[in-house]
Amino acid sequence: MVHQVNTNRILKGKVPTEESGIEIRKTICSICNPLSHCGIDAYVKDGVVIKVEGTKENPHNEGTLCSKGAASRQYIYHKDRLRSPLLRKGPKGSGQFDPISWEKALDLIAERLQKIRKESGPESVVFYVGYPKWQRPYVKRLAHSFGSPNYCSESSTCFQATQIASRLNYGYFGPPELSKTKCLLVWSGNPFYSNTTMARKLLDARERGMKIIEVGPLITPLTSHADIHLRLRPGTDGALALGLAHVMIENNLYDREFVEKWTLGFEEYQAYVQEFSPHVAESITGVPSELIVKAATLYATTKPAGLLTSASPTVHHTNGVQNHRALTALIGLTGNFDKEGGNYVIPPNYLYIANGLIFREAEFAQSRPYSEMAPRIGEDVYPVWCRLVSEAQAMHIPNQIRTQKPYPIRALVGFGLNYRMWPGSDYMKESLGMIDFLVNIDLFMTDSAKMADIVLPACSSFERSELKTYPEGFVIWTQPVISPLWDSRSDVDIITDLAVRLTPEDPLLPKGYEVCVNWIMEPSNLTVEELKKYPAGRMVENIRRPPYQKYEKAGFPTPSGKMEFTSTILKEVGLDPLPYYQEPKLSPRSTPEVAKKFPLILTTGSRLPHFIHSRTFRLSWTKALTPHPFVEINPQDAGVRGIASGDWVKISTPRSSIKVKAEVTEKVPPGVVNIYHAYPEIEVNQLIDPDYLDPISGFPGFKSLLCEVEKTRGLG
Amino acid sequence: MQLGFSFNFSRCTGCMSCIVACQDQNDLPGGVAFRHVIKLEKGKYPSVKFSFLSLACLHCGDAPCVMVCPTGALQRRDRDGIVIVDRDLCIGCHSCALACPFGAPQYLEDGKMAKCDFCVARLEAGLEPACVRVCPCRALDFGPLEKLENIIAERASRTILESRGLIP
Amino acid sequence: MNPVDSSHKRKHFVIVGNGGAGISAAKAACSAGYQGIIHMVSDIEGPTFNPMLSPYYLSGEIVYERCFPFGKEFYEKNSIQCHFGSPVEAIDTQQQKVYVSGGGMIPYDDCLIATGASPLLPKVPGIQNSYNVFTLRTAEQMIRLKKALMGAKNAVILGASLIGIKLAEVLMRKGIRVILVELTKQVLPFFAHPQLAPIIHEHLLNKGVDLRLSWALEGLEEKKGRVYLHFQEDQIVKTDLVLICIGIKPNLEFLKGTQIEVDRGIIVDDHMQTNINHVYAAGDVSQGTNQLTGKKEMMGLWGNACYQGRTAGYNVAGMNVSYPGYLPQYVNHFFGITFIHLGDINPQGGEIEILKQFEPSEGIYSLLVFDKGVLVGANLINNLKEAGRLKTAILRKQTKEGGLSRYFFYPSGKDFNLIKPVFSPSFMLAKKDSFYN
Repeated sequence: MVHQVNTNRILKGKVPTEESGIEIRKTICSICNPLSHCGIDAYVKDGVVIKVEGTKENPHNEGTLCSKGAASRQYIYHKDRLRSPLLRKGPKGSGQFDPISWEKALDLIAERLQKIRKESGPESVVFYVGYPKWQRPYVKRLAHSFGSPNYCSESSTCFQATQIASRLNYGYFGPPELSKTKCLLVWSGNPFYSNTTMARKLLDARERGMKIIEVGPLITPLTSHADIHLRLRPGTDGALALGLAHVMIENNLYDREFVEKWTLGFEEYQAYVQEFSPHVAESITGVPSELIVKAATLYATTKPAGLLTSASPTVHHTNGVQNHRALTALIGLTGNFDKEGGNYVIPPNYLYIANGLIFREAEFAQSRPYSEMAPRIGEDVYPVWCRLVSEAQAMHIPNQIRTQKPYPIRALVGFGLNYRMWPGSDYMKESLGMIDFLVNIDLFMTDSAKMADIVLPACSSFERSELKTYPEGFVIWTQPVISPLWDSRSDVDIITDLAVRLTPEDPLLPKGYEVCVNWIMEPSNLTVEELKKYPAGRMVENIRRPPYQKYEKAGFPTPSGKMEFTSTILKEVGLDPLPYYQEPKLSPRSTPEVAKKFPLILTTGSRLPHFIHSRTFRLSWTKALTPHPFVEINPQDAGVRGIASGDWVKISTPRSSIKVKAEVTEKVPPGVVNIYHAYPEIEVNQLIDPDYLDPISGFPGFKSLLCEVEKTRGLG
Repeated sequence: MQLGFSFNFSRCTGCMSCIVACQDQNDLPGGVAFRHVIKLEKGKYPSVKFSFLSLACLHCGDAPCVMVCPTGALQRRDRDGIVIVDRDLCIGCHSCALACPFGAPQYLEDGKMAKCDFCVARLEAGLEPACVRVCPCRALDFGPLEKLENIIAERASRTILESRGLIP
Repeated sequence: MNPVDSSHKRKHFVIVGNGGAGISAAKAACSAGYQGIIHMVSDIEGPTFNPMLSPYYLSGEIVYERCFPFGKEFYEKNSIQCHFGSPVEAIDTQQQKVYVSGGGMIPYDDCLIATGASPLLPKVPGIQNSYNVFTLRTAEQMIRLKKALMGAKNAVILGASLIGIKLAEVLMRKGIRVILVELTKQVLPFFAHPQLAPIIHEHLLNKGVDLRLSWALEGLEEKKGRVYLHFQEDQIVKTDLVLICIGIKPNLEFLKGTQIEVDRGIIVDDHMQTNINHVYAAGDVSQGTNQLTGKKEMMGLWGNACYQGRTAGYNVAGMNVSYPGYLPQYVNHFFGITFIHLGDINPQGGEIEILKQFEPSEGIYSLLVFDKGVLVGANLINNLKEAGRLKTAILRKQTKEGGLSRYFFYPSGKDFNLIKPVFSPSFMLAKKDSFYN
């Protein structure tokens, strides 16, 4: 597939003209998540993409791309792309496969799953989607139409716990209105690296004079723009939030009217918050008390103010949900909830995007109510999760595989399954080896795909049609810019083909993607036919945005109809209704004996701009930017240990140890080390116990662990 | 007219899209690009400063690479000041790499020099350089030096006047 | 020979020499709008030749025309009065006249001496009139050598200098058996640090180079078309041809009788003026400022010659331009490696500290020389990416503790751990990496 270009200048410069024969075709990048999904101009010549660029007319990315999207060609044309369906021939995990036809593969899968359903019930089959999002509603529908309640995803470790927390408080939630807010409190996010489409909006808002308060242990590109940086010890977000609340309440800086009229449990909250004086908060979090006072005052007195949360950093802790409740409570406390320039609630539209358009995604996906199916995986352990999230809790999968209670798990159909995502990743890998039938759909032969009985080749976004909507109200039905490579197929086509065999009575899935999309879009009067006329996408006119302060008319969608400082649901399941602060299960304060041997706090999983989870390490363009796995360590801690940048070091936790290089930098505070998680050469998650989980959400405590770092000689 | 790049330090976040866009545009292998990104870290928290610098060829007015090139493969265009290497004339002697204070010359598998040519074919077609197009923070810009200088001067004046409360 | 226009109205700028310095001066004067007449005098016919290109021609990589980087049309286009094929014989600085062989005389208002340098010959009997002994400096010598190589089966190269090693590779590629002889204990005696030279030796030996170090030539004779070289301890080597690459000396003989200040080369200030009014010098014949030491030194570098020539040309044209000097900087490829020398690797006196980063698995070797904590010199093998920036670090007198920058890309071990951030290599050299991985 190497494209030969002659020395003609236009061709060499890849200028799209009639003479060069280079044509621009529009698509979207889906290397990362729906918050981005940037529009892409693919430069195509002779059926090959020779260059990519951001689409200018897409109002979301406005012609720009991150380094991952810019590397699209190396992703799509990678030599390791799966070429055909594969059937295991050697022992499980050996990676020995025979190519088979699609017909045979789909028939085999259907046959096995139907047999297992007959023997052990549909719930014994798990339908799992990893990081990708575009196919989720279809996988979910397939699962439920099949009869299994066990649709689950990578959201078992990302984002959903923040939803649980904010829904316990408010029943719904919304992002800050960046264009209108005067003060932005960014809580543990790194938007410049996790969502470049937000970068310009942030910088422009900053230039307009928006104040920024940043909370987080690490220094990010945002820190130089922040007016106040609250550099807290990982896992202490709750204490900090309660400390901020203390200042606001004590100095009468909160919205009394809102609190009196629209909240439940303020008295208990006020009493609890009393304990978190700036001095106490400082002693727990490490943030100087003057800064706590300053930040609380700034956020509470600037109107309007918005709070930007991030999908995982505050909930990747064993105390995550309550932490996140405490910090999001500040929005209501200051009267910024569902207000102009504050956090504005818009009902979700499609694939985690909200723009005012009304679709029927949830209805489509929930083709059978949970009440008509067996209990979900994790339902007994995570009742709050199951109450607020329409998925099973995938962290519980390895346990249920082993205990077989309340019923065995016998099969798993995975879209982009990556066992490394689980804490104690070796534990999950082993567990996968115990089930009867594993199918994985992916673009590459990953370590997880190697464990499968059948592997199906999926294609990239360039090779398929898909529906994509944006927060700006821009909608696109993409056309493939090239035909699927080798024998790969679009995930949703695979799903609908499976549906033909597994759930033929389902009125929608077996009819194909377009039929489903039309059904989903129906309330908005959009159709696929209509959208096909605009291959570059179009803005939908006259989208009705819901009014602010919806609670004035309809109350809050919580059991009490109010914002709940004391959560009714938590109370019902016997947990503390207040956003109670607890130390992470492993911390210098909660486990000082462990901290003697493992004195440094380990945080994992923060973002680098050129990687997204395990995806872009195969690409030489992005891998070469930071070719070796590394840990960031503060000069103080490094100095004491005789570690200099470039040294090989061993990171040990009570469970395990790995070897990486050291980068000595002020980016991390003293006492904390930060490691990027997804380098294929190392398994960071083997450092974590499989049960190191938040009891409410089931989320692993990826970002507050204890470790030690020592210099070592070379590799291995 | 002298073309140049402008770079806004306060907007660059070190995301390195510019590097990959350049590699994509010029079909370069991993690890080789005509644009570099340099991280600068200075000081100790809370007064530590992190910043990033994205640097390609500066298309110098008095380009040392042009002076030292023994074959005349490197030339500077009169009309816009772009310094371009003619790879057919290049013998791969690396004199330019030594002469350039910015590390702009790169070498490909054939041993010959290649470097940023300001995406000259794109410019001639009315398009912007690939790195300028891709930058999510709009930290990179390009244009005649005079125009860029005016933009920067205007921005600086506005900042000064705003800080004195003389304009909103 | 053209009759010289001795009109009183127009001035005359006589450039003696048509090498890199000479033509750069002519170019500069033209571009600065010099109103007078520019003469160029040379003992050789033909356009400016770049001697650096001869190995590439000999190896067949480039064609003959490419050895003349400024082309043939330059002179006519710029109305240069050419006196080619006219070796300069004398210069009268009081009368302001240049005398060429055959009786010609050219008066000047300003004169630039850019006669370059010629290869040194070892002082042994028998060497002067040998037919099969070659030096390589002019186009004619290059053509002669090319012819001789066609029939040769073996050769001896005297001098493991930059050009000597390069020619060894060119000859070996042609299937000629080469013996590379060096008088001193190491190759590249002025450029490679003694702690780095062994690595080069090993590499050359691995590539099959027959390297003889500490071999002194004592005599030479030719018999029946073969050359017999006599070395110490009665060692005799018989060979088809001999290449002399032991260095160059400036072409100054015609300056006898003048008051022009000469050390090894002609001393010039930062305007390229000699001590005599209206007489300039530039290029390999001159001794300009070494930017690092501040002293006047010979520097046989094309870049330096061009910059100096240009400076002289601008100044003759009435601009007031100064040239601060050059930093010794050499880059050379041979046998698959690239060797770079910067600055001063053997500073006299002071506290010298050597910092090495040798990575044999990557084939990258770096050696930095500090004098009293200040970076003064470097040797690099294959570490090209950093060369330009290291050069800047030397010019800025970067200290061991002072910093330039740390790179965002994880240094992957090619980091000078001992130096607090001076620099780190930005990218690894691309391995054999197909574009699509």
